[in-house]
Amino acid sequence: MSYFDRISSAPVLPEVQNLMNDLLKLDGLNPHSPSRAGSRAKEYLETAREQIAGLISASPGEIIMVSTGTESVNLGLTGLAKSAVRSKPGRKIIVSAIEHISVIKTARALEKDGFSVITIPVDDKGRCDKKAYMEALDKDVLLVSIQLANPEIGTVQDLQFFANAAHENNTIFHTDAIAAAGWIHVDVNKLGVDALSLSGTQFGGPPGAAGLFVRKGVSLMPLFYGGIQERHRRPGMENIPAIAGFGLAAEHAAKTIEKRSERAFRQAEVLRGKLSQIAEVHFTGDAINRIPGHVSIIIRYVEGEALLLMLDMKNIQAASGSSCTAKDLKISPVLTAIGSQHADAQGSLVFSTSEHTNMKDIDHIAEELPQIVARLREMSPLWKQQKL
Amino acid sequence: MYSEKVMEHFSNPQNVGELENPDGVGEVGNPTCGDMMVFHIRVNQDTQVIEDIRYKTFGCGAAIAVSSMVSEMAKGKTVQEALSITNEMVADHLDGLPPQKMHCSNLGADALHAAINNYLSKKNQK
Repeated sequence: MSYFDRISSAPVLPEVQNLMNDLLKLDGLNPHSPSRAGSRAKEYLETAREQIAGLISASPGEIIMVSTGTESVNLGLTGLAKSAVRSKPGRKIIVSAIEHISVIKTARALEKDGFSVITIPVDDKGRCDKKAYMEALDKDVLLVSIQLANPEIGTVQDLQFFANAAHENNTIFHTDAIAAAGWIHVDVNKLGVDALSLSGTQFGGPPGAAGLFVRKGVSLMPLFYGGIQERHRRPGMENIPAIAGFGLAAEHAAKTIEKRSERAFRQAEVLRGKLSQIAEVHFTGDAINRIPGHVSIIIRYVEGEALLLMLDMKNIQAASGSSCTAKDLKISPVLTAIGSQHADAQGSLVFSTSEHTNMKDIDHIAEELPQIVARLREMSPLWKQQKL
Repeated sequence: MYSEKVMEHFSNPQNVGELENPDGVGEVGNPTCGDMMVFHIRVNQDTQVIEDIRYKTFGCGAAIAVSSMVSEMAKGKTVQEALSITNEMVADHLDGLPPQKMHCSNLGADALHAAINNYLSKKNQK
């Protein structure tokens, strides 16, 4: 299988699999037990916390373990907003128009709780409108959440600008760094963020463990109650095997980031060159400031789900923002926000390389995709209209 | 997600194409919604049997499989018989479709009926 869907979930690293297998065989992995097994579990937990903190230049005490990226975003936005509102008068939250659905839906839920949400538009490359942001950022804004990088179009934001402006306004800043962490250097101090969501599934960690960085001194309400875990901020028994796997993947990511990123950039460049030879293909997102190994395109006059199914038959796995691939049958809001026409957005494809991608995989796409596109276009009434 | 039957028709769709001077043309859907189908039929004037049927489809796996299945079901039937084919019958012949695809992609019978009605209205004008 030529796997080009790291952005959904990267293959779990073999050393992570081995570690987790070993841990799953152990009894009593409860870090709050005074037993020897409990102490060992506590050690795995705190080692992972250090490894994850190391990847983003945070202090271990600033990392909260959660189960998924979506939970991290929910806890970040809801916990920060509900805490900040206790000490500040305003109730406004700013998000960008191309946030992940977990941010958008959490913001909508907060609206029902009396917060008001301002959405900042983006340009055709997916870059947040700085002027609109500065105009929206008034004294009533409690919280901003702008993603570091977009999983669908690959664009990396000028996050320092947005975070600095928020701080000058005495506003808390959260970023969803899930698509970026492990692939681009993330330093929470340089970025100037108060909170950051990340997940190991992007860089070889297992499902079932993710993290939320919350800067020391920033107050956060929990989403639920019942235990002392994670200093009451995320009650519930820790998933030690998954957390340890996440930690090990983070350590591996920190050690190999330069080599991997450089390789991924090169691979993406080659892939872009090959795909640009297909007629009526448009590249989406920022051509320069983007996630390494991420190529996002729109192929006009064909539909994304049909493309994915045919690619899958040729053992190539990728992703799409077409409405047919979405359970709600709506075009990806990201593609709408960057101004793509609905009919064009149906033909979106996202290729993201993983650590295991090699040039053979790239050649495989370059050989198969043009034939698949030609076949589907031959079947498409729109292609004929376009040719007339 | 899809049945084997759907994948069979998707990977090897039958009767794709267009007819020269078709007796009836039917078009449903639009690319904004995700799926669009254009059906052409050739009808034997004496027997009213659909002797040939072709289509072009823009859409997902379900839309392509549905188009192929409808074309197979209608070929060789009289126009009156073909008018009794429903979208539900097409889905059944494909061993079912995912619920979210039933309304958006299961438009094959509508496209067939549109082509037949186009043929009938042209015939009545003669």
